[in-house]
Amino acid sequence: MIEFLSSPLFLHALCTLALASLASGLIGSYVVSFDISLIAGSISHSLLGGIGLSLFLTHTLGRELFSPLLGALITALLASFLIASLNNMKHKMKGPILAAIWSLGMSLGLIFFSKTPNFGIDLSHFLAGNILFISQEELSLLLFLDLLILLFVLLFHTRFVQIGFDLRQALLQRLPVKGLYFLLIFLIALSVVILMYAVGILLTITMLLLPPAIGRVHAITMKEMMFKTIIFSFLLSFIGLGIAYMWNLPVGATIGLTISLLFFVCAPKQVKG
Amino acid sequence: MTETIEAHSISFSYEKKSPILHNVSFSIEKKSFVAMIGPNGGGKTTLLNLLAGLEKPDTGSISLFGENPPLHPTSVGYVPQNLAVEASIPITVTEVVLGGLLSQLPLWGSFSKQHYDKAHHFLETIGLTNYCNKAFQSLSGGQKQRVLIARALIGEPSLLLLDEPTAHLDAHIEEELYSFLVDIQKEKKTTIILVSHQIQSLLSRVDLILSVHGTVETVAPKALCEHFALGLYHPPLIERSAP
Repeated sequence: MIEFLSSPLFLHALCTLALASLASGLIGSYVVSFDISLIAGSISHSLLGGIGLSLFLTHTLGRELFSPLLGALITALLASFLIASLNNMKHKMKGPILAAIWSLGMSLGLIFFSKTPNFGIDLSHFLAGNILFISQEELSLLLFLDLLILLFVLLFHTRFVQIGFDLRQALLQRLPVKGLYFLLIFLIALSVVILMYAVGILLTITMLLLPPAIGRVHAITMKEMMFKTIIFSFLLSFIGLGIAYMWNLPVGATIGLTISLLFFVCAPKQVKG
Repeated sequence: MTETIEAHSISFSYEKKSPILHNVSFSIEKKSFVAMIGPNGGGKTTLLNLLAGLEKPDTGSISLFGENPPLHPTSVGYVPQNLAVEASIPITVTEVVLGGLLSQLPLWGSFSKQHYDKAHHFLETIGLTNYCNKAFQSLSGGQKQRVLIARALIGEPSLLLLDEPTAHLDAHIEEELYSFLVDIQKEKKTTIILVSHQIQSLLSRVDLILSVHGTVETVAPKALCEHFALGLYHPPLIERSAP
């Protein structure tokens, strides 16, 4: 156990969880409070398209044109651009369009994977996540993405909160609502890429939505909700990592299970509140 | 500078459907207290949006004290129905009030101490000093509405628009709110336009009534009283104002 705790593998995993918790706390709080979880779900599942294309081209050409992480990032940005072009959060065709982006990315990804030799291993790696095998380069890029998110949140937090609270007032006060909406979708895209590396595509939504839902209980301000969420998210995923190591379970799934169980403990409070 | 709000032959429709407002013209004196009444779907909120500059008329023109809408963000205050805001967002009462000064928020910064002092002053004005750091969602319906009014007033607007501010409120809170608005009108010389379904309690306080039903008819409060006496509220106004 002590050997594992002092290994670079564990330290990398711990850093990834810390970065994922920061993204979950900052951006997940907006997603939950503004009730735009379908947007996050759509972007997170569409990532598989970019990852599949990256692996397919690497195997076909014999060299890496772009990494799966870059593939995921480009897909996330493309999806966020498409979603943001809907202009507002209450567009009447929003649901079907988000579902189309969701299924387009997922379907393309599965087709690319099916045409790639030994696709089963890679596919489960990205769907369920495996933070124990994250490289130093990937960790550096995730850190960069997190810092970018933190910077934008520090700069535009007040405006995001006011737009979410009362869009009409934001328009009256001549806030650049469309631009800020696009920026928020872009930040969601960056967050899902980070979370994908922590828990995998299938459980990204778990980490983006459930810790903020727990953090919102009794929170008076968004800042308080974000702070609580970061703490909960890190503690719960750390506990999940420990359980996975002790009982030899998949890390992403165990983290997802830990977070989900605590959510159900807190759920009655949420439903009531 | 013109001392009136003027609408000249304005028409408006959503997505090129049949017009919500058709050939609407009226004039409102500065510093007056105006009630807007009419049936649901008659165009009251649309007319408020046009005056606020949130929508543009398809035809015709609006002049607000000699200027075209929208006025400067601090010159117009807007109070929505309290159900129109997203109450599930964790936000303090002070933060809500500061929403009325968003146009003064620096691009790379946050609200200054002066902004906070001003927000606290307006919270004091509406009698909610002790609620500064409370969660907006923890307030009662009447308190929420007063906070939204403080947000509309913090920019010290020359025009205050209120969309059914007393919906879902008890009668005594409604009375309190109307008295408060009359004080504001007198002290700050603000022009107030208020949408309401409960016209009875407003009659003694307003200077003019706009009956909105596709088109707009201006009615003196006294004339409306006569309709009440005859039990004829609404139908006569609607019939007379039909295009």
